[in-house]
Amino acid sequence: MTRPDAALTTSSARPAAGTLDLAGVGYVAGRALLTDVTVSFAPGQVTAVSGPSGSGKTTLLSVAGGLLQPSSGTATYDGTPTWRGTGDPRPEIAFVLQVYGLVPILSARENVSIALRARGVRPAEADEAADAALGELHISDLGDRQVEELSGGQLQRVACARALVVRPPVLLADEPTSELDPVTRSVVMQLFRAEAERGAVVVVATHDPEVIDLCDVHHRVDEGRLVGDAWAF
Amino acid sequence: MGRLRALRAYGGAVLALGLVVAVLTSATLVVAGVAAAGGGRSGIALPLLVLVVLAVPAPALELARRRRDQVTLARVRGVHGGSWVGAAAGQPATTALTGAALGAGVGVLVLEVLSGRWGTEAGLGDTDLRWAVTVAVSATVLAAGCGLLVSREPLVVALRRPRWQPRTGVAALAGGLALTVAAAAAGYLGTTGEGDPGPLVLAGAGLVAVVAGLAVAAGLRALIPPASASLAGRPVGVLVGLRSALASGATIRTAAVIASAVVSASALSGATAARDWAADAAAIRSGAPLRFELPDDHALGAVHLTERLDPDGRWLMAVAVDESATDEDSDPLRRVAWLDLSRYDAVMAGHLSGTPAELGDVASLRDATGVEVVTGEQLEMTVTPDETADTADPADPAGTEDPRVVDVSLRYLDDEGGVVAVTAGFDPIGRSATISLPVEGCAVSCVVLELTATGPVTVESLRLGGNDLLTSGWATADGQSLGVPLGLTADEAVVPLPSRAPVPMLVAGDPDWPESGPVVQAVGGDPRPVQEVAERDALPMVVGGGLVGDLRVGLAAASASVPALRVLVLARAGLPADLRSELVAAGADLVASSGGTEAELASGTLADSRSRLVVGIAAAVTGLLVLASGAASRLRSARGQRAALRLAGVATADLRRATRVETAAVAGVVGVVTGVGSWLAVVTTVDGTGLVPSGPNRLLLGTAATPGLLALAALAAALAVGLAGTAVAGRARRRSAPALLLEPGARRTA
Repeated sequence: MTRPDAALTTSSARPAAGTLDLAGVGYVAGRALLTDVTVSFAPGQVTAVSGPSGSGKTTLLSVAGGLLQPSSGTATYDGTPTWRGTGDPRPEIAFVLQVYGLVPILSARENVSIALRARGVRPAEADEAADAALGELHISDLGDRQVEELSGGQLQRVACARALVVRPPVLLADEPTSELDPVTRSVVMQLFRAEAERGAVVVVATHDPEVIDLCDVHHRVDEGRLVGDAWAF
Repeated sequence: MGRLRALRAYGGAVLALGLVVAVLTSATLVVAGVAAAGGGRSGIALPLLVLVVLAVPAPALELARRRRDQVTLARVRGVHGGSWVGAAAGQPATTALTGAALGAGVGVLVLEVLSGRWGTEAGLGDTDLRWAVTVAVSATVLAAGCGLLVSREPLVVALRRPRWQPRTGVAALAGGLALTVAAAAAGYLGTTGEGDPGPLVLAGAGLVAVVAGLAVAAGLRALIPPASASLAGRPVGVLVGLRSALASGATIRTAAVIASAVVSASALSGATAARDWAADAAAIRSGAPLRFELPDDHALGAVHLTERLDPDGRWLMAVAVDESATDEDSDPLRRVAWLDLSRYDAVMAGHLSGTPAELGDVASLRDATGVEVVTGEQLEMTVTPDETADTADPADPAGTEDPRVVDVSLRYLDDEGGVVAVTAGFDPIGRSATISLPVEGCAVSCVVLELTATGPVTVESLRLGGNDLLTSGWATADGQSLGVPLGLTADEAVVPLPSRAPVPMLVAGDPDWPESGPVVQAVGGDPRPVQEVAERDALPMVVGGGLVGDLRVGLAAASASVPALRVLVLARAGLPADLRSELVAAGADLVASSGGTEAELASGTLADSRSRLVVGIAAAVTGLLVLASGAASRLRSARGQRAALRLAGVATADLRRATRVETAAVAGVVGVVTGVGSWLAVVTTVDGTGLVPSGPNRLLLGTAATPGLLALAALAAALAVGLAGTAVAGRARRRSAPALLLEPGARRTA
C-alpha cells in the first residue's frame, strides 16, 4: 500500500518531531468535563485513550486538537497552542470524529480530496490521492457515491481516509473503529501505526480492548481525569 | 401530549406545509368568490391547483425527512397496516388538512374585505368551490404520500444510513412526463384554439411553470456533477458551492420557487396586460381626455369654434364621427372619424402616446390631401351685384356703414391647414366690377372651402393665381348644383362640387370594400373614393375597425351640415377653466371623459383581472414560503456542512467563495428560467385564455407578455433566492465551528 507522490509533496507530509502536550487542562461545559489533565503525546507512538462512555475522551481529544478552548491550562503542539481562537484545527492536525464529520453534499472521493485541496494540493492530484486512500481502506468502489448514501461503517472509513490522506503530524481519532469489522479494524490500525512510524503523533480514543492492545501507550480517563499511570506496551 | 411534542419538534416544517396549503386554498377560494361576484371565471385559479404538485412536496418532504427516525422506530416496533400508515402519513395529512381549513377561513375573510374594497357582493352562495376543494384534497394526498415515501426505504437501510435521500421513482417520472404532455397540449390549444378556453388552457400557465421547475431540478441533478468535475481545477469554493445547490431537498425547493415565480409572473402579466388594454382602448375610443358635443352638426362650424376659442391650437380639436363608430359590431366602413389633424399633435398625440393608435406619421396623411388644390398669390373676382338687392345691414339699421357695399368672401384652407377668408367689397349699383386681392398662405397648396356674400350677387369670374375656380362647378349647401355665372344669395354659402379625387384615409380592421373600389361617406354625406394611405391595427376613435381622415380635407367640397355625423370638440388634459366656460357658453356639452370610458371597457375584464391579481400574489407568497422554509432547513444543514469543511481544513475564504458560487448559480438559474418560463407561459397559454373581449372592431391585445414586468419578476425571484442564500450563509457562518460536530455534551460553544 503505497501513498501517491502528490500527498507526499504537501507541506504536512513531513511530520515535525513535536509532542502534543496538555498541561493542567480543564474544560467546563455546565459541569467539569476535564479536570487538571496533564499529559504528553509523543511522536512515533500510537497512544490509546480509553474510559467509559462520558468519561471525557472526546473532550480530551477536542481540546488537544484545538477544536475546543480549554477552560484552564494549555494544550500545545510543538510548543504552540492548538487553540487558534476560531475553533478551526491547525493544518498539522487531522481528526477522525466519532460522528464522522463528513460533508454530506460531497462524494466520498471529494470528501477525502477536499482535505488535500484545502492544503494546496492541485485538484487532480488530490483526487488521485483520495482514490488511493479509499483503496487502502477497501472502499475505492464508493468514491463516486454521495456520503449520504453510505452506511455507518463506510462513513467511518471515509473519515479515516480523509484524516490519513493529508499525512498529518498529529492524528486524533475518536472511536475510529467502532463500526468496523475486525479485518477492517486491523487495516485501520495498521495505517495508524504507519503514520506513527513516520513520526506522527497518533492518539486513538477507544474503549475497544483489542484496539488498546494494538497501541504503544495507554491512558485511562474517568470523570474527566487521567487515572492511574500510563501503560506502555 | 405526544402530538404536541411532535408538533414542537417539527414546527418549522409543519408550519411551512400548513401555510403553503392555506395560501393556495384561500387564493383559490377568493378567485371563485370574485368570479361569482363579477362574472369572471373560477378556472383562473387552476394554475394554483397545478402549483400544488411542487409547492406542497417541498415542505412535505422536509417534514418527512425530519420524521424519518420516528417512522423508522415505529417500523422497528412492528407497527403495520393502518397504524403504519397513520404513523407515516398522519401528521403530514393532518397538517395539510388543517392548512386547508385555515385557508378556507382566511379566504372567506379576504373575500369580505375585498368585497368592501372593490364594491362587489362576493358571497359563497353561488361560488364554484370545486377548485378550492380540489386544491385542499390534492394537497392532503400529496402531503400524505410524501410522508409514506420514508417508509419505502428498506428498514435495514433506514437504520444504517444517517440521512434519507428520496429517489426519483417511476411514479414521479411518469407524473413529470404527464405534466409535460399536458403543458404541451395546453400550449397547442392556447395558441391555436378559438372560443372559450377549457380548463386545460386555463391551467396552462401552471403546467408550464411546473414543467419549468421540474426541468431545472432534473437539469441541476444532471449537470452539476459533471460541471463540478470539469471545474476540478477551480478553488475548493467552486466545488462546494456547486454541490450545495444539490444539497438534500434543495432541487425540489428550487423547482417549487421557480414554478411559483412563473405562475405569479404570468398571472400578473395577464392582469397588467388586461388593465393596459382597457386603458389603451379607452384612450383610443375617446380620442382625448374630454369630449364635448356641439348642439348642431356643423363640422365647419366646429372648426371655426376651435379656431376662435383656441387660435394657437393648443387645447381644442374638432372631430366629426359617424354615429356607427360607437357601435362595436357595426361595419368598419360605417365607422369613420374625421379629425382636425392640424391640431393632432397638440391635442390628441399625447393622449394616444404609447397606444397602438398613435399616429406617428400623421403628416403623411395631411400631405396626401387627395382633393384638388390650388396655388396663387392673387385672387381676382368679377362680380355683379343684384340691382334689387336690399343691402341694408340688419345689424346696422342706422346705416353707419356703407349700405351699398356687398361683401363676397372666399374661405380656404391655407398651406398650414388653417381656415382663412379673403373678402372683397362690391358697390351694388348693378355694374360688374373686378377686384384683385392678395392671398396669403396659398403658395404651396390650399383648398377652397366655400364662397359667401352679404347680398345677392352674380360671380362671373373667380380666379386664384392661374386657376379658374368656377370651372370645377359649385353647389348649394344642400347639394344643388349651380351654373356659371354663379348666383349667390345673401349669407348662403356655396361650396365647390364634391371632388372626384380620392380622400386619403387610414384604415383599421378589414373593411369589406365594394367591388367598385374603396368608398367612404364623406363629411358632406356624399360617397367619395378612398385613397388608402396605410393600414393600422388601431385608429383614434374607431379603435380596431374603421377609417380616419383629415377633417379639413373632408370638409373641402363637402356640404356644411351633415346629420349623419356627430360633431365633437376634443380637449386635452388640463383644459383651462375659462376656455371650458367659453366652450360651454358656445353650447358645447361635456359627454364623456376618458376615465369613464376606461371604467366601462375595463368592467368586462375586471373580475378576471382581479382573479389573476389574486393568483399572482398567492403564487408569490407560496414561493416565498417555500423559500423561507427551505432557508430554515438549509440553515440546519449548512452549519453542519461548514463545520465539516472547516474540520477538513477548508479556509473561511473558500467557504465565502462557495457561498457566492452557490448563490449566484441558483439565483441565476432561477432568474433566467423564471423569465423565460413566464414568457413561454404567457405566449402559449395565458394569451389563449380570453384576457379581453374580442370583436372585429375591438382593439387587439396581441400578447399579454409584458417584458418589463416579466423581467422584473425574474429579477425579483433571483434576488429573493440570492438574499435567502446570503442570509443562510451569514447565519451559518456565526455558528459553524467544527466543535459543532461533537456530541452535545462535549461542547461548550461551537
